[in-house]
Amino acid sequence: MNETIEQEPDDISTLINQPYKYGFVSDIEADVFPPGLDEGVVRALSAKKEEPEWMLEYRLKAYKHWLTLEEPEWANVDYEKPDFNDISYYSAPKMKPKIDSLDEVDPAILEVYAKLGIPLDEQKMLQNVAVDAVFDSVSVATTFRKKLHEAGVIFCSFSEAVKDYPEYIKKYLGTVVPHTDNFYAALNAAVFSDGTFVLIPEGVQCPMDLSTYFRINTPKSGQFERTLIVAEKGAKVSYLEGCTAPQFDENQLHAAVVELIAFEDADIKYSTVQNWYAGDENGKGGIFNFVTKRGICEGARSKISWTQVETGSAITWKYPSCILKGDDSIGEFYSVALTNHRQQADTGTKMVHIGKNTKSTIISKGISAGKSQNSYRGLVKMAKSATNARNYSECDSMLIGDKCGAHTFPYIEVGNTTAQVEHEATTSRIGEDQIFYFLSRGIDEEDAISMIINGFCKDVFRELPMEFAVEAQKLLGIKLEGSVG
Amino acid sequence: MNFLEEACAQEPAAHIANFIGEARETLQSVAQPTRKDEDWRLIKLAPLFSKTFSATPKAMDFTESIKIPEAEKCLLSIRNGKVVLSASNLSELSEGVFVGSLEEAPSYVFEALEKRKTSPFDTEYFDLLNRASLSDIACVYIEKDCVQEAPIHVSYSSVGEDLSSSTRLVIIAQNGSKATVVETWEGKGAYFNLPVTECVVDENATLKHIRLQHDDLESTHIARLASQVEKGSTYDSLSLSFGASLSRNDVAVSHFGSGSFSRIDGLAVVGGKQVADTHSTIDNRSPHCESHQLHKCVADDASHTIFNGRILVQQDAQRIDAYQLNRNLLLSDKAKVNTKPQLEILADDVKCSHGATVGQLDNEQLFYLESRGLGHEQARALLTYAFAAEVVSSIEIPSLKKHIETHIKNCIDQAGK
Repeated sequence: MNETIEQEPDDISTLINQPYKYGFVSDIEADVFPPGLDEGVVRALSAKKEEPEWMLEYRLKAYKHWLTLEEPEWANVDYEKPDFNDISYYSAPKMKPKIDSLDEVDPAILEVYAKLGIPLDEQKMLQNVAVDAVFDSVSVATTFRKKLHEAGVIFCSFSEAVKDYPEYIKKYLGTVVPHTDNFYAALNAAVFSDGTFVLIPEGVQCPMDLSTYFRINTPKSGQFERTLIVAEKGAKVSYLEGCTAPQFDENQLHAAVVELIAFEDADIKYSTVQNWYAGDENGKGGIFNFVTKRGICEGARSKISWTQVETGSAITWKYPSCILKGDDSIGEFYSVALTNHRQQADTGTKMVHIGKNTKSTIISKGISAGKSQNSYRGLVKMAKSATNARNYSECDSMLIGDKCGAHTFPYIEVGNTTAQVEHEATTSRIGEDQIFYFLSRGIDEEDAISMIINGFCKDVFRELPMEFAVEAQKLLGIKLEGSVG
Repeated sequence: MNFLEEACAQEPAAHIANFIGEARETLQSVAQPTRKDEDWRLIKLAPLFSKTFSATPKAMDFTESIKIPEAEKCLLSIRNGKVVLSASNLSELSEGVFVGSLEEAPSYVFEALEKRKTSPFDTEYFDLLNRASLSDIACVYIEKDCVQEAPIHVSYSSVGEDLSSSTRLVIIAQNGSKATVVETWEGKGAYFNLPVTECVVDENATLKHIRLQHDDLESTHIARLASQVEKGSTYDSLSLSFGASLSRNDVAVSHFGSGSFSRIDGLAVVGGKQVADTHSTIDNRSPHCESHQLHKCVADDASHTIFNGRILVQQDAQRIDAYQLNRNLLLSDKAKVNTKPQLEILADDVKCSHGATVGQLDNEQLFYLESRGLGHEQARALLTYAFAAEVVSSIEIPSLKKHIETHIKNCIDQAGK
């Protein structure tokens, strides 16, 4: 047994040499703003997107607030802060002014998505998933619109929503994540370029899974998208999000905001498979992923469930949260965060219990390999009004190799006697006895590791929609292939 | 400028002048902690900082109520921050044991003191403040291979209004020695206690350390405990927080040597508007160390308990076994509990786990007792007592155990009314 353990370093280097599959750069002519940020850029961005006056005002308000803020430093990550004047705040593939059908999308872009394995072409599509593809700063295509329209579901890019459904945007934008929330949320509110808007009307179960695919293509550009999902009374939706980026030596910034609103009896399930470029083995390049995601269970018996598989990005700084305001509402958070090379992830969730009988579950699995640092940071807050609220949290970490780190920072704040909070965390590595068990049954080491890791993450994968679960398992497989002796 | 200005301006006695060193100067450049600091975000320190405390006590009557008959001939009394030998009784110390003020300490105690390693609090505001305003240093020194059978009782007592006392206790257990040290705090008035305790547990030594903080409910108690745990040694500590309107206890245990074991248990039982805050760090710097931590809080009325427990495993510290459990019981709707158990692990071959629970008494357990004829209040009291008493059960000094259990019982009875 000892021999195999000693082999570890070699195998880890095999792992480190796994190439990033999505690192290609596509040569697509783009309309790019010169780098830099000032009020003029915000105005120009708004003008470019032909936005109404109120939208510009919102952006300017956020920009002015952003100027007063300082970049946060409390996260357990170490990086060179981005120079906000060296980033281009708008990059769009050149295309015809308005797209009516997929046929009008630049074939080069369609090719990119085909390479990524994202079927945009409705004709050939077997999966029952509607996709909104965001390329750099703008949404390039949205599929299955007609079918969704018949069901009454609004699923479109954010820019279109600002034009077509201003009443909804005015009503809901910034209600869950206000522009004053934090440094990156303020920046996003000022310069967000596009994103997705979803509205599921009362009593409608969305007939198919909705999906957005994000791709950053232009170097030195930042992606600031905004997603807003509103589920009215009794509505139900499952939403998937995927991300990739090409390989560049310089760090790119991704600062998104996601807002979810669930009214009475509504159910929103939000799944993410994040595979931004993570930088090379020396930590050069990669995406800074500074994301604010938050959902509010506004009505009674509503439910918001976050599932995330985080495998990419040089730095991840992300805390999908639930505000459980409605009585009997439910919040869930399932996460697998894998870090390798010199990746750093500081991720977790916040569950704020306000309503009576609210329940939340947190399952977080962190896997660190190489020289990476993986932190779980979470808050469970029971307000005075949260009578009979319950929370269960479980954070497990697995360490592969002796140069990585796993950290847990759970914050628990309780102000109600009837509330019950449980938190458990463990840190371990793959046991020699576990591997021995597999070997003695004729299963080789690599398969054994992959089975153990898949078992370790099973609680989370089970929550993912089918297509994503397969993708996530494959992703972990690729990332960890041959990693442990 | 700070709220202990008078103490910081006093001409230090000769034996502590060395200790003060550059602390007064350094303190000028260290900012007072505010709620913007992560470690202090839940505590209101502004009222404390806005007060001014005097460092010159008036003559007062002291009647210590915490008595430990088992240790009555190994008693060191510290009154208003100064060692008072006339109130102490050190007649039955084993040979090779020194207990007393640093002023009387033999030269080998000084030497051992100089050799102790730097503590993580060295540059921290309150530790600097303690040194800058130092009133006395007490020492407990146990010679190599010496076994001190009877527990050593260090009794702190403060009487007076707006009076501050900054004491330091240094406990040194040399190679292979064995001892039990009990620190107790009590007093009367709205005073401010700023004690720092430093422990050195050298190779293969065993030190049991109990700290009972039972200060006046008007007082403020900000304490630091830094323990250096060496190869093969055992450090077994228990901190009890019952008194003070605001108490803050920072504990840092560093495992410098391999194969060492430490227990860092704690219990806070508070009511009224009390705030009891414990921050602990267990730093595993060497392989094969084991640590065990059980911290419990019982919060009644409008009280607030805070627990922040960090377990650190450094990169080369393989085969660490660290366990931490924090359980909190909320007895009233106005009470509040904050807990943050932290793991920071940089080695892969470790077994670390932590758990935290916050809740009320289990209804099924209550029902079980009620179905056996106990009244509702009785059943509640019994379960609450059992919750708190678990931490105390390991105390091996019968009179102290009894004293603490009685106090817990009284607290619960009062809560019932």
